[in-house]
Amino acid sequence: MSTKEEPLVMVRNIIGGYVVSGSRGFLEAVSRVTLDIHSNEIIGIAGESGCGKSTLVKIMYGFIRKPLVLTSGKIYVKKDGDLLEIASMDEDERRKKIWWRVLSYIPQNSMSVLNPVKRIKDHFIEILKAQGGNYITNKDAIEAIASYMEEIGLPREVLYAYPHQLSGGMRQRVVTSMALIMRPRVVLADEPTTGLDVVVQRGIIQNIVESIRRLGSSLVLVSHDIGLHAMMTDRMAIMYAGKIVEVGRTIDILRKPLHPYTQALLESLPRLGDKKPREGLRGMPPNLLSPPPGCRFHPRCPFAMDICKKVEPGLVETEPGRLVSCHIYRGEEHRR
Amino acid sequence: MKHEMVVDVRDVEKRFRYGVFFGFTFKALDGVSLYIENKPVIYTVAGESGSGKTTLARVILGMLKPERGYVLYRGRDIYRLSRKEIRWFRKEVQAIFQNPYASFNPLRKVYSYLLDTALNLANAHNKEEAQDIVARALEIVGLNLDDVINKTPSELSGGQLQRVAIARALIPKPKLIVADEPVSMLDASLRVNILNIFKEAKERMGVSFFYITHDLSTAYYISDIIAIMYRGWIIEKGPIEGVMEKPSHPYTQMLIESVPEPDLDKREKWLLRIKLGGIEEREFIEQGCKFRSRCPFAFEKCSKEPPEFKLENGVAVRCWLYEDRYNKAPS
Repeated sequence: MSTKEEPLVMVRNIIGGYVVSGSRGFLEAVSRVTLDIHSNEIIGIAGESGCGKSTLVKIMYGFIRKPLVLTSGKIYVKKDGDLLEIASMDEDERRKKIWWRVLSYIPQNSMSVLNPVKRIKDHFIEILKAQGGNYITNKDAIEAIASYMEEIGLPREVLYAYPHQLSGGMRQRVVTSMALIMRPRVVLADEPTTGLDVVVQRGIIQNIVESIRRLGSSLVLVSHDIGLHAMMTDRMAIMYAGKIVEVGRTIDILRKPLHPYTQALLESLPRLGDKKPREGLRGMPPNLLSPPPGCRFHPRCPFAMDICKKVEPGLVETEPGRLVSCHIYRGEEHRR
Repeated sequence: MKHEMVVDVRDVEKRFRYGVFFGFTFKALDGVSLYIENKPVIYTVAGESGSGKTTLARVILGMLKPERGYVLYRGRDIYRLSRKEIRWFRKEVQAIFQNPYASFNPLRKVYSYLLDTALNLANAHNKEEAQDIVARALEIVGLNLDDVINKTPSELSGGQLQRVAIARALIPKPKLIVADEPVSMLDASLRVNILNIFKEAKERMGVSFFYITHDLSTAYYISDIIAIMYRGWIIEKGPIEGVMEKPSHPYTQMLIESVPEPDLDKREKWLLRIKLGGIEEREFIEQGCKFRSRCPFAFEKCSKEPPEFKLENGVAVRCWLYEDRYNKAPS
């Protein structure tokens, strides 16, 4: 993870967002974001509602449909030694070259990808046929799927069930195993367990982590839940109002958060066994139709200086692999 | 004795029917008892989806009549109140729900709601008095008049509107507020602000709370007492420290261990493999202990008879593991 090996995915200067109806303008949900995904890592993207984390992974996956628009930026993905730029591909090309085998996606709401009138087995057969060619017979496919299910510990009856017959947790396990069946290099998971009970969530995350490690793949976990990041990610990126404000190893971010937003967020979280009075953030996130000038966090920041209201801070590297976007750390650049 | 309780829920059973043609019923609440004494407390009812916690909240609020058992509010059965008593109950017991946008008419200015509440339920004699009362309530929830005046609900953020909902609940000077998942729709960094308001209302105004939640970290932060629910049963209840720091019931243990926390020391244990259930959940209709099919310690007796409450370290726990070790606890 920390070697000098070239990243698996390089996200460069992405600007994307939503065209707001009534010509009220363009909501820039993701604003010049740059991020690397390394091999064999679990990286978390954390932040609160409206920070752009979901939009970012949608763009990374290349699922860009109206009203979502990618304005500029590049995404490079490694595939068999080549570097492909996928932001300029159309959806057909992505489907052929990228989806399932290189990048796959686990959405928050499993029902959005499961067809309610099709049995679970037919969902799997469809993926296998699309990816492995139509010469695969249904019988062979079912055989392969059944042994795959056994490997990952899903009961066989699930194959013959319709989506609505399964519990929310089981549906999410199905969607997860669909995303993993073609052994993708990178899995993008958008709040994969939000809304599930904590025990079920724990079991599903354990499944995902185990599969990712076994395949030697990488996982991008999008979640608002800092606790979940602490339980499973190697590195984290913290987003606020469309920007990445901080990147680093999870251990460093949790033990020594650099950005004032990260500090306030971590401070606000109640923990079991600790009753010390805590304070939440004041104010609310900015309206992204007209974000504040300078640093987007400055109206809520207890350390805001004059420069913060005028100049937007860039990401600076304070230590190798440790990035923060805040004027407090000017002059602490490691290099760049 | 009974009259010293603010709320006394006794052996309540609430059934729901499901299935279109066949009359299946299941017990959303299956013999639930709990009480709040006459001193301000924050009482958490925690459980996962389907545990019955929201049904319990609605039963306590007088919105859902149980089939069996009763709910006493200051000694009076809330489902047998006279018209005058209903008015009194509506003033003394307030509710806060998960989605504040659903609790307000989207077209009406929120300030007019607050004024009306002050006029109707807080004995304000005229508009000036009502404005005073509203101003004090807004101060407690940390809002300025400028934040709310002339605003419709959609012009406020979720956190602000939830504060307005709390202000409205506080205006009649209630004795009890039932708050059903009041912070689960809010961003994590704002939740603790709302929880602090609850604490302050308890301490400064003597309001008691039923805090209904699935989130054990916030429950630990604000509550004095907690009841853990599982499939219509309370399976463990007692002082918050007793239950959360030394959980007795295997389900409570599993639940607490599974909460993801921003604490790396917890990671190794959290990632220890757990078993997930099968495709269907049949626990509602089974006999014996409802948790036994998921319980790592289940033995023969657990599938035959439902366990009774036993007292373990000052906490009432419903589990056969603790049979005969102590006398039967007053439930």
